[in-house]
Amino acid sequence: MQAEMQAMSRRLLSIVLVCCVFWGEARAALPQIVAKLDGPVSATVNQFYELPLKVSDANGVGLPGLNLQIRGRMPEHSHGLPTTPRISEKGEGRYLIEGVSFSMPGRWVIEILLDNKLLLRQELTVKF
Amino acid sequence: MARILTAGCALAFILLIFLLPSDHFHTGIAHAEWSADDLATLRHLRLSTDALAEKNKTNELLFRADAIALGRQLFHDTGLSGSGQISCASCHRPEAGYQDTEFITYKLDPQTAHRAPGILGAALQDWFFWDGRADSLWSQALAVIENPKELASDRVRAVRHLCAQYKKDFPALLKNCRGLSAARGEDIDRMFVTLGKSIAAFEAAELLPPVSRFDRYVDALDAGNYAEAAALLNDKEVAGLKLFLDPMVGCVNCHNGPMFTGSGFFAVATDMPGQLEHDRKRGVELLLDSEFNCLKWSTAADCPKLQYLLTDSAETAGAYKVPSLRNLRHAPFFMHDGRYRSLEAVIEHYRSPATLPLRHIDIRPAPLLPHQRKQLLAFLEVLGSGDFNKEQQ
Repeated sequence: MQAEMQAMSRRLLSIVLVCCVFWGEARAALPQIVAKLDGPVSATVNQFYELPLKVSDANGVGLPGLNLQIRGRMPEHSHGLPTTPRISEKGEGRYLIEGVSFSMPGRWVIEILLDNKLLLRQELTVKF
Repeated sequence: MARILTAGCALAFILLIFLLPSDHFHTGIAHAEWSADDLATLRHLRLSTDALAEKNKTNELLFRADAIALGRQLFHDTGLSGSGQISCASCHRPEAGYQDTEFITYKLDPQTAHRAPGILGAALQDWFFWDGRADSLWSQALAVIENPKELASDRVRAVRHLCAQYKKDFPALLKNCRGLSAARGEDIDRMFVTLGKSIAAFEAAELLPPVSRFDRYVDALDAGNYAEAAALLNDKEVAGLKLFLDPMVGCVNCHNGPMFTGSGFFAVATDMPGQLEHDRKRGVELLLDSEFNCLKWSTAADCPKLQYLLTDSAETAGAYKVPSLRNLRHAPFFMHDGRYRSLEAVIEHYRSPATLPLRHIDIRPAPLLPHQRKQLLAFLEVLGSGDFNKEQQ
């Protein structure tokens, strides 16, 4: 099942979210964020997806041990994801988001948060 | 004078809108002119049993001939009820498209907050009961047997009946009946699960919806046979289908997939104060407590729906499972609590849903003119146009 989900993830949704976080001199300052997206930005309703995520500093060095959260919503509707995805660490600043599913076709927004502050916002289109 | 003329023109325009035949108002789409996106959606909605194995992954008895035969008998067996007078078939009547046309739901519990839905194609769906408190078809059947307001029996009694009645005819399935007198709780549970899985195997094999005119229409479009397509759906029905797919109306957002339900949970302004304990929020609690949920009987890898269950959300309050729109021909009532007795009333509900202050709601009013409501209704009737009994013979 895990292998199937991974294969499905690779085949149908090769989204790699790369977050380059530039830590300023003062940690209190908002980090500059650069997001890079590879592959098609589309998904199918009612399938489970895995989203690989990498969080790096300005030099491309992975940042492990971060307190990350994920949330998703449909801007044209008033609801969020139909599931509770989980984020696990895979080492060297790599993370895997599992259990992402979309209950409705249309435009979805996925947001990655670091310590409950927005780190990355990504849009994708869900189709039948 | 100018004012009177303006008002007159406005009145004439409004009258024109309402009085002209409906055919003037849909675009009169030629059957060859569906867009590629629309065609993809139509194919997505066409009846298919491809998902049976995936949807019933935790039922190893699926497709087993002896389990199907046993399940068929159990479905009609009044011995599974505490009173000995009712069976699954009492609320899901075979002669009425497996709908509760005799209102047994209400006769058993006049205060009930939900109704028994039709179950053709239940095996092609996720989540069971209006609150989704069962995550498999087999565990749904078990919950009905032990519900004091439904079959009102218990697992020990049901398993004793199973062994006494069917052991001889189904020796391979019921071999554990031999040690019944010394059976412990977990042995009883295992045999009770076999009972549920047999009923579910029967439903997956024999209680599937017939191919409707809509499905044949999509087949005809796929084959490029537009003359046949035109013979299958008339202009009014095609106009209704277009409305069904229209993002402004929004039906297909929730009623999608081959069963015209994505098996999701949405708040559609049908929750009532005092009945909130029957919504998805409560269903999630009951599911996690259930002795027969997926994680208790299968490996975690087989239970992604439960592993990633939406638990902590305000959106589950007042939300109920989206029902299938297939085979509503015999449906005696609609919505989770059966509040409406006609599809016209349901469409009117969506045109003007009543909302409660500060409550999450997933729908917006569907802007449907009177003739469009008739078109939408005409399309919904196309989905129930198959003759179930005829096609089963």
